Amino acid sequence: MGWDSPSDEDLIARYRDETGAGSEQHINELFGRYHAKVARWCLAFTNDRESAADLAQEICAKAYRNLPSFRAESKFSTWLFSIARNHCLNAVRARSGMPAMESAQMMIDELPDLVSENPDTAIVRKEMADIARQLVCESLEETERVVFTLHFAEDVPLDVITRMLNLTNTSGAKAYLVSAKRKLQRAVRIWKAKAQKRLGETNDS
Amino acid sequence: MTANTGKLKAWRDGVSAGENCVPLEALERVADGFSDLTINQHVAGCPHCQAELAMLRSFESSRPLTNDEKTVEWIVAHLQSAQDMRFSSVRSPLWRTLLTMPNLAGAAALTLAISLGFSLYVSNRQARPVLQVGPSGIQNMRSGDIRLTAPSGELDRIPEDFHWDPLPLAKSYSVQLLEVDGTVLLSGKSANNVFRASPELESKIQPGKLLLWKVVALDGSGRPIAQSSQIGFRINPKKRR
Repeated sequence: MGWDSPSDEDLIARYRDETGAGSEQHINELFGRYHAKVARWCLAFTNDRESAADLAQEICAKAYRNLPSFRAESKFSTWLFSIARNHCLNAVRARSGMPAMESAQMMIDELPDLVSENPDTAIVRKEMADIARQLVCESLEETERVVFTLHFAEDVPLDVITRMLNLTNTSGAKAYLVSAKRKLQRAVRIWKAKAQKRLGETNDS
Repeated sequence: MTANTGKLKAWRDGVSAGENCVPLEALERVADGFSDLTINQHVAGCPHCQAELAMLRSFESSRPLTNDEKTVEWIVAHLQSAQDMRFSSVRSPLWRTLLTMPNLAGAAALTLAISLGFSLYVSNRQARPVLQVGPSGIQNMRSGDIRLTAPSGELDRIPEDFHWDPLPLAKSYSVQLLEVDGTVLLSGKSANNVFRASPELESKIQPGKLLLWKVVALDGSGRPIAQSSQIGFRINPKKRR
């Protein structure tokens, strides 16, 4: 990085050290470096330039307001990412009742069932979560895991995941989710059979 | 529906954040390629942290989506304009607002006269202020010390010249044309506060594309003494000369 390209942290330090218009120029330069990243991120969430511009502007304004709380425990870009991620995920959840989200219900219908007809009824919720995590990690490829997690844990719509991860296959994230569910159904069948067998052995002894 | 809720809950719990999940600062180090056995082991067995890492990488890599670059540029221009407005409103002098209020104008003038008198009195009793110098012996360089005048904003044609306010101590200037992501497209030197656009530079300016430029002032030995902030401009594709 040359003399004419101070680091993000340098710009923040100068902003904090100085007052007046000069200090604002540092922040202008700092945020200017990330406008394209924030714009692309928001566009992935909305796929519509006006809404993306609104989201991006809200993110930059929030980051600017919260800059005094930035303690340099991470890079500025990571800190900005956490604001962008939270803001966009909240925006997506806020419109989760909209028609575009109806397909999510269909996806849940096809999920394998870990709970009902569970051979070991003593399993508590935490253990069930551990089993689910283990099955996801052992059965799925990395992209399938990420798509599955973003969709079911973070409520991110599939079209957003497709754009966010830049998935270029024909059906995008949906293809990964369909494949993940098929693999999980198989994994759950095997897991239940093993649990049934263990239960039988315990009862025999 | 209830069965579905229970079914979803089990899977959701399995891939949601747990108490051992690592913070973003640690995931940042993983994304940067630093190896930490404990963190790597956790991430390998945690779908939540893997998803976080994937999102962080997506944000950082900022890979352009097909046919989206024009839209991104439009949003960037929108953000830059909003930022300029915010800063210009912050910079809007308070005295100008006060002076537009009739009852306060007289009070402001009186305050100014008293302040001026007091500062003259104090300045006669104190040593003259010393110019602050950096460790290398030159004045500390400040971003925003040079005001760029043109081009900026939406233009009807490719600019022939780049203008900025001269800096008394500067012996020459370095001018840079940049992409919005900071990539330097072209750089050049000028002995005064005008930079003439060469045919090479004109070939780099694509209509409709947002570009940024900035200027660095250099002293007699070519060392930087001040720089401008970056400002943007774009040629309207329909009105290109």
